[in-house]
Amino acid sequence: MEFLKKNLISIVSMLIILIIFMLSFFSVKKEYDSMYSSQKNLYYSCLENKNDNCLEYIKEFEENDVKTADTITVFFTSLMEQKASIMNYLLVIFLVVPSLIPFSKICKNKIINNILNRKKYNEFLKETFINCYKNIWIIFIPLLILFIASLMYSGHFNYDYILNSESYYSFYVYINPLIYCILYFVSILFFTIFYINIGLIVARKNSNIAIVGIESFLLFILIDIIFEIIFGLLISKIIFNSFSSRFNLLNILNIGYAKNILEMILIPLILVIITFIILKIIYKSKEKFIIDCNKNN
Amino acid sequence: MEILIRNLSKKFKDNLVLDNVNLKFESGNIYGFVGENGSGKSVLLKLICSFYIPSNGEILIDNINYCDNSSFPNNLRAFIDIPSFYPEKTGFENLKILAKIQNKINDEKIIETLKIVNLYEEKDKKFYEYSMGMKQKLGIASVIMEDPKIMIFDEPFNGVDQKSKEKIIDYLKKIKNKKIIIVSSHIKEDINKLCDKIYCFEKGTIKLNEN
Repeated sequence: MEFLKKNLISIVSMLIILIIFMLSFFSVKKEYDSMYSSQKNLYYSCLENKNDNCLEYIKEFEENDVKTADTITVFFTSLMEQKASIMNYLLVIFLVVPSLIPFSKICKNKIINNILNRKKYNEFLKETFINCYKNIWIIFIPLLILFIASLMYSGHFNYDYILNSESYYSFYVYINPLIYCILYFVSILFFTIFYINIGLIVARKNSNIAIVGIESFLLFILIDIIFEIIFGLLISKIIFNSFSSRFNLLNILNIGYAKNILEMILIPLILVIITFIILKIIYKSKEKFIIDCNKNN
Repeated sequence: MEILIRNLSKKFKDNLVLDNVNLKFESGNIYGFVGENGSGKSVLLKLICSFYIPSNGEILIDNINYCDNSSFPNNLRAFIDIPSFYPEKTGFENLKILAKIQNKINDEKIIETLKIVNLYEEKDKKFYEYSMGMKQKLGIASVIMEDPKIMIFDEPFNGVDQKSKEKIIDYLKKIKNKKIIIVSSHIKEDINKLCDKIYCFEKGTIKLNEN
């Protein structure tokens, strides 16, 4: 009960994300069911007709052991579906607002004086940041549930179906699916920390949680524009031939920003490191932090 | 216990708030700070609490310099500026949250402190329901509840009723042995009643005015 009360906003955020993901999943499932059904009907129809085209189709249909999309394809197709893809834009708000409410309350109510009378400044910062990062479950739980739903629906990781059907597929076909899944969740972890760091950067000067949420969203969009233009077009072409020129941060849930495993992990990691450096600089001075907290009321 | 302030200056941008201050505070005394608004009283209190870093000079508490970014004097509690608590929590809950940080006292001690400041009857009211005087008393309680060696109060008696004020003053006089208590106030009557030594602040300089 205490946990529910303390984490109500986080739980509500997580539930909203979960509902959106599951609605997308059921839309995608419906489409796949319709597609499988059409393929089966065509096969049975061909068995009756047996003209030249039909014979070829019957042969292909019978030779393919895999007749349905694999788990990872279903998972990413669900994330790309219209309803879920909006989370690429809004995830920053859903993570920042619940994570930063306790910190905003401390600054807004000037409780910082009472706390720093009893605790070292560095200890206070460390505890605050860790408590913010603990909210990664807000996105992890919905993604895990979506993944489990995809696995239960598909039942396999064999991507032969999508290779044969020329559907969308990611570069995961080149590595072990289990390793790919682990790396995917690692990249999401880095992005989650990156989003929360954006919130901490904004909250340094603002104790109103609504403004922190809005400014975090705007800052994220700005970072995306800068990242896409500067790194995507200029630097990557000059220096890193192997890097992609499309670092679109508005496409993180289905790894639309990366063309290989290295980019998948390195891009969010670089963003985390940059934001950590910024945090270290802006939170360095205890005196300035206390003065700013005492101004915000 | 001793607080030694040596050649202390504090500047905010181009504004020199404190200029070459040299002071010594010893246990067993209650010190008063008086002066106009903006004369540097709160700034000096915040420097002693290590909320601010001196521009020049140093502050030693029992020969330890806490004037860096990370450390703080562990046995010091302060009530500075306005009372700052969670509005949606009760008076008791707010004190318990603070007490839990260092875990030095239990609920009974918090209750005892609320009785000292005449706030026991209102302990289960939400902070936002408190009057100005009640908020001040809660601030005072937050300082005295953990029985620190150094107590700092900045304008503590604003809006506090006479009966409660006298009770708090009597309590502070009773416990001042082995403690350093510093009180800043513009109410001269309270300062004269409470303090053994009074310092007058004027444009960054400080003069002793013996009581």
